[in-house]
Amino acid sequence: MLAALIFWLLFLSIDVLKKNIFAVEDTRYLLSFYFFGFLLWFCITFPLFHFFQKSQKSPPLLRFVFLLLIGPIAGSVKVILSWTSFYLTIGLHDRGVPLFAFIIKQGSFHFVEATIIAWVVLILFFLSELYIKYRNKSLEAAELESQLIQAQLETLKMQLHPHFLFNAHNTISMLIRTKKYDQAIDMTSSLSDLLRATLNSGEKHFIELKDEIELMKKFLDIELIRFEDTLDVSIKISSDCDNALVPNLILQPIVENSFKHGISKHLGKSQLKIEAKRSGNRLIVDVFNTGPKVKRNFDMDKDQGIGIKNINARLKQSYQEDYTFNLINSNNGVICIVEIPWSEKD
Amino acid sequence: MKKIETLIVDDEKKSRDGLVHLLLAEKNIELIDVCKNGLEAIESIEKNRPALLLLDIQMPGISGFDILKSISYKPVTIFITAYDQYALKAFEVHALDYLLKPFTDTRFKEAMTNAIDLIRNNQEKQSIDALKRLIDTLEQTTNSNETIHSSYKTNRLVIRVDGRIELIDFEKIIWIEAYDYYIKIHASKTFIIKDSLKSINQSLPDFFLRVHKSSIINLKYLQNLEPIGHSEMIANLNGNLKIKVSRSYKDELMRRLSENLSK
Repeated sequence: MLAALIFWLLFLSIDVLKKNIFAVEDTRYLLSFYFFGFLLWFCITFPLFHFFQKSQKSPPLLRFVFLLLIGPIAGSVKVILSWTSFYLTIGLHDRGVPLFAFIIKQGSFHFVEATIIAWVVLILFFLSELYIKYRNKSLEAAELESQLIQAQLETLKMQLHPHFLFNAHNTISMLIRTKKYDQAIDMTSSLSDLLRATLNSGEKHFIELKDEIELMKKFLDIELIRFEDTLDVSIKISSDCDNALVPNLILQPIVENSFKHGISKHLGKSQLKIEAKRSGNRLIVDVFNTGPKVKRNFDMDKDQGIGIKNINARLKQSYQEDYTFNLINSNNGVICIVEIPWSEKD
Repeated sequence: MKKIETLIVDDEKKSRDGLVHLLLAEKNIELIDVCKNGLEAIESIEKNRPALLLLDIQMPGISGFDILKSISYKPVTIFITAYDQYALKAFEVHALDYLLKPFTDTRFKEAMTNAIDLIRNNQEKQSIDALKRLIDTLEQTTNSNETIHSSYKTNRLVIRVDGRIELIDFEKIIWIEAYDYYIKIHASKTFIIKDSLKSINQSLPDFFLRVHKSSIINLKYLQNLEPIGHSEMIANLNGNLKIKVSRSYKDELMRRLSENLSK
């Protein structure tokens, strides 16, 4: 729309120069025809833009035909209105010249001109639409990109989190002190595996569920060595879900929350359960942890936790509104349920 | 010379094993207990009154600081932490010793020597005073009154009241009352904590029974029942307590009582 307004300003200035309007002395012509005509064009731009936007929903060919037709229509409307007003102000009706004949006589050249002007305006609309589309596309791509990087950063942060990393190092040194060298070596290599896997998690926005789980397992392996006597982890992925596509690193913030808000606050034996199954054309992933329940007045959309915010933002970016993400209380803990459209690597 | 009685608290088995290993090498130390969570620690410290405590700060449910807030007796304490800037600052301010995970043998020995010297020279009082000041200054970061979520087998209810951990024997709880978003636990004292009857009911032993939408009673305190019409009853508990039994919970109560009689 802005583009159209700028166009009209330009059009006006060029036209004024071209026709050397300042030299015209007939003020009636200037006022009633020239400026009124221009004002008409200006006003017609709005309905034109309205119809142009409406046509966005129709298929391209139909839209093309529609826009092609709307050009002469807009042109005719303009010409008829402006010549009628000219006819009236000049006072031709007093001289017995029939309106219809006058318009036809004056009009034929002007019809073509007006139609072409309307088309130019439409083409202008189309170009700006293309530009906006292109800009949104690249914004979206940039958004996706930054979310993936964000997720990678969060994953790395979780692994480099002092509590995790220093405790893991402490475990290793305690294993060495108590001469459990094999376990110390296992744990050192698990730690490296985990960091390596995160660093290699790549630029893909979607990865197969089995790869996502593989990375999660590396993290859980370390927690399991640390809490062998209190932590129980079970992962049940039904075999048809192995190749299902999920947003890269989507599980990480969920599992991190399970530890942060659940297991780390739970006295005694803790459990973490990850399950995935297919239901029709949906993929459902559940993560259960023992621990305190979510608050009665908990509102996912208002939650300020960085983890939940990021998960929601990424799911929305990837699936628009076509997903669910919920936290519900269950027996002695909380289940996080993510449901997304089923898609598979071909 | 009498050995210094020492107690270890750490939630991670490998870390406990390592600490035990290190302590066994210390001639002046007698290891009296190893606790794997805050609950065990509170009970053991009160009971064993160690002179020296090796305390991990980050533990599930009940943290090292929770333990210190909750015990009346305070030993000389060496804190162990992976990373907690807030705590580290506090340790520095109060000149308390701490070990950063992972620590070297040398650093461990140094901390032990310092602690042993303090105790041997009867200077532990200033260290313990510093500890008390630390506990006072630690804001009540977790001062909400709540049930500590627990699947830990115990004959006590573990709750947090004003930042302290309270252990209440189930036997001593007479009844529990719903109170908006809170519950009132009536024992020798009354505790108000944020919880629901539904959720606390799951952690109570089977001699507790829900008798009304807003009350759970301990059957061991039940003396008799009197009907009051509309299929409702009044349960008389010890100490002239009258609790209403509503229609929907009456049948379950009768069933449980007849079960007990037949036993």
